[in-house]
Amino acid sequence: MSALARGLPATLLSVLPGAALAVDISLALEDVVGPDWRMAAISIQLHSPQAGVADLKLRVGEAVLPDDHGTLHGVEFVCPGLHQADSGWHCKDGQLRVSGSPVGPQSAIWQGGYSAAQGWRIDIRELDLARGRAALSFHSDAAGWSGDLQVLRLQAWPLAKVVGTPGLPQDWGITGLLSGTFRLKGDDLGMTRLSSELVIDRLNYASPDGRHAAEDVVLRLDAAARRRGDKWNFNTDLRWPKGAAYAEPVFLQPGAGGVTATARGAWDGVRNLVRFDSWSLQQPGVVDLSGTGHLDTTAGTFDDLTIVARSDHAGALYDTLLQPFLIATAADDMDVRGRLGLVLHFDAEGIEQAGLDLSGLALTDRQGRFSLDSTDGSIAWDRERSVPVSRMTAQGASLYQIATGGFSIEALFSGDGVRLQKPVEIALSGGRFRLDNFELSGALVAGARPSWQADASVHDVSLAQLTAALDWPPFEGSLAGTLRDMRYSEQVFVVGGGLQIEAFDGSVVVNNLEIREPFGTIPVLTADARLRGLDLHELTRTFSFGRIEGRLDGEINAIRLSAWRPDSFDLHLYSPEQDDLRHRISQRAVENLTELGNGVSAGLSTTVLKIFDEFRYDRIDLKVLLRGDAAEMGGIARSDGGYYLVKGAGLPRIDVIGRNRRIAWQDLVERLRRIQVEQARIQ
Amino acid sequence: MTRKIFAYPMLLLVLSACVTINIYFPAAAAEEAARTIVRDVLNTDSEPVPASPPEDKQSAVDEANPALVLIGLVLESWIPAAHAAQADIEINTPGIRAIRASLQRRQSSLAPFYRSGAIGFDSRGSVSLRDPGAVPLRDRNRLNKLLADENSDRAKLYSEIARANGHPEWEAEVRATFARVWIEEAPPGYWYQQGGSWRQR
Repeated sequence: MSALARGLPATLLSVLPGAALAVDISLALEDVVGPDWRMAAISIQLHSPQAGVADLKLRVGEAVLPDDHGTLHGVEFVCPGLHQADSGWHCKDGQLRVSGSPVGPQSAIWQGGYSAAQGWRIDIRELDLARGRAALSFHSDAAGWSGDLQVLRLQAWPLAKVVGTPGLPQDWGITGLLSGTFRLKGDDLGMTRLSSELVIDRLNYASPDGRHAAEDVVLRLDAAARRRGDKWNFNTDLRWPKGAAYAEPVFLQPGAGGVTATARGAWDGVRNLVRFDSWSLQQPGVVDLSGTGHLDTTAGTFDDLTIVARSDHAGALYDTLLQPFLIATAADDMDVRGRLGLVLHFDAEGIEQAGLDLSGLALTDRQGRFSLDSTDGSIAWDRERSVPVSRMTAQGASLYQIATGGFSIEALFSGDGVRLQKPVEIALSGGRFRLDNFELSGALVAGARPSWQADASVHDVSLAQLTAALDWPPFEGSLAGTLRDMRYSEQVFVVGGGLQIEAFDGSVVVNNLEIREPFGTIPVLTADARLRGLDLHELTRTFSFGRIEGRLDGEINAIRLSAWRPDSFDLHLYSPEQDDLRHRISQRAVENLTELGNGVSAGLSTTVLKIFDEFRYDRIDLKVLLRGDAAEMGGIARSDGGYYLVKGAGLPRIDVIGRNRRIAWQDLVERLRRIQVEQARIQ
Repeated sequence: MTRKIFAYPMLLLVLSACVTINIYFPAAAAEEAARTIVRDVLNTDSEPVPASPPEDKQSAVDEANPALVLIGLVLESWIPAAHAAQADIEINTPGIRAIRASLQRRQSSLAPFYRSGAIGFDSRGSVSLRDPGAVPLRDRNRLNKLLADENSDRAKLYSEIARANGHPEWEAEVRATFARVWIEEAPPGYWYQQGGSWRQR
């Protein structure tokens, strides 16, 4: 309050004591102007009919409030029964009238007084403010001034207009009720203390674009601030016990324990800096966040910010705060269990250091694409400096239906990448998978595009377990192989160095292997494969197909799988020109090949050939061109339009000749399945 | 002899004339295919997703009569050409089936939001948020994921149909066809976008 405002009425009143006759004083001022306020058309009328009694009428035609808080019109401050007592003047039934203000016309009663010893005291009751009620109590003496403002059920939007909140959107339909107390203290230099106990009730808003909304939110704010030189030390506690809010993409609803937030620190109004000595945000059962930091209020940026996050309920944390940011990634549909702790340190350039502790953390993709069993460990990352090696141990994992054993990882997290420190060995389908090296880049720095590169090998993997896990036709035996130059970037997985598999005494080389969106709705795999020298005896011995001896070469080119189902390929399997193994085919294999090629059994068991267990053959040749749902079959061409699947040799000679050329792929698969089922029944 | 001399150039001419074939987007077939898929996804038609095309009727056990085989081969070689002339649209690839199944699975989750007017079919063949206020706060994040997944699947469906038919460049036309058919097949109460404004069926 300005010295003028306090001093002028006091000066006027000081002339009244001792006056035995009636006194009338009128004073008019055209204009009083302050740094950012102005009062115009001021008139003061004082009528004292006898000693110790007076009528006071103060009128301000127009008052422009500071900080663009609006203009008051027709302010009348009247006391019809001003009386003298205790060395001062007092008013019991004063009236305050304001004909126009940002919060509408006002009419209130006031009481108060002035004495040289106690200074000024004014209590204004039943003010109409923001469609609620308010009461103001003001006291001023030589030591300074203090004011209490009690508000009851002030409405949010009218209040926002009064207070002046330029950042508050006008089209959000903000409603809510504010009740509570503000306490202010100050001296001639300005305010020195501020405290408040506020309740915001039934807070509702909804942005037109649906990105922000609140429903029946209740907030309790206790705040206190004290000036120390140029700085304000503050201490705030915010509690959110009820309601729900959505701030895209996060939906928040306090549980039984409510959400609490605290902040303690200092505000430097000269440098526009807020120093948080401590802050916290807690939602019991979800997450406990705390930290320190500096906020530059001019730029709106944090510096030297530390965030410590701890959650004993990683699942609730994922569902509430993490999953919304992962939508449209492979990690947006997981069940998460376990505990985790996270420490982040930010400087002006972003995250400078990070530390993550995992305790029993387990992830399971709800679509069954991957999982990570209970994992413990800690990860340390630094943007520039070297960090200790991070270690993690998982009890197991799975990729689609393939489960692995436990494994440990030692890796270095620094800069924009992750580098494996030593090979990782993982038990896989009776054998092992070895990740020889792995480098991830671009995943740890905002704005960069993540990609990784790795080399791996598999050893002694049981085909029986692998094929059973994938629900493929059962094979037995084992496979070993290498995966060189695996790369992943922009949702495309590429094995640049090819996949080399040693199986059935031969080799399978897969080149141009590429998987687009491996965790998307429709993963698309493309590849070319070359088979060399597979021992058919080993292959068919385990394939429940009937025994065939000899070697098999082949090519499967232009393989395309959509959602892991064959979409197209050009397959050609054939006996090599130079074969070191004898060529024999069992009666069952002949029957099955015939059925595969023609859809019906050869019926050898009903002929004289049933006495032969096996037959010699010259060559095997099978071509399948798959295009969508239709397969075109072929073999060694015959002049009659058919084709040899098996060209016999010696006596008794038996040829398996295909007649069908076009066949529905589903039917071909069905025939294969039937052969296996029937064979299984025989066994 | 003279006739033979003239016959060969004529044959060459006929053959070379057959080589130049302009393939236009088969709008009618695409619309029929789109309608089949859309009805299937929206469950407005009980016709199930065909598992596979009917099998070639040529029997394996028939005694191979050379003449019949020859005729068969000739016919067979002409069948693809006949298909091209009819301009069928292939929608029964594993990829398309997987996308259709994914779209079908999601419909029961999306249906309440369609019915409440929160979302609707837009003019680009996707699903758009129409009235976010109609979505309870707790469901908004779930709807965001449903929309992201639905529109991702739809985009894949259009590109996969174009690719499966050997013409990736048809994607925009496939999308435009679907955009129209989604709206035409929308059940009563569903909202759709037309001329930049929303309307209700």
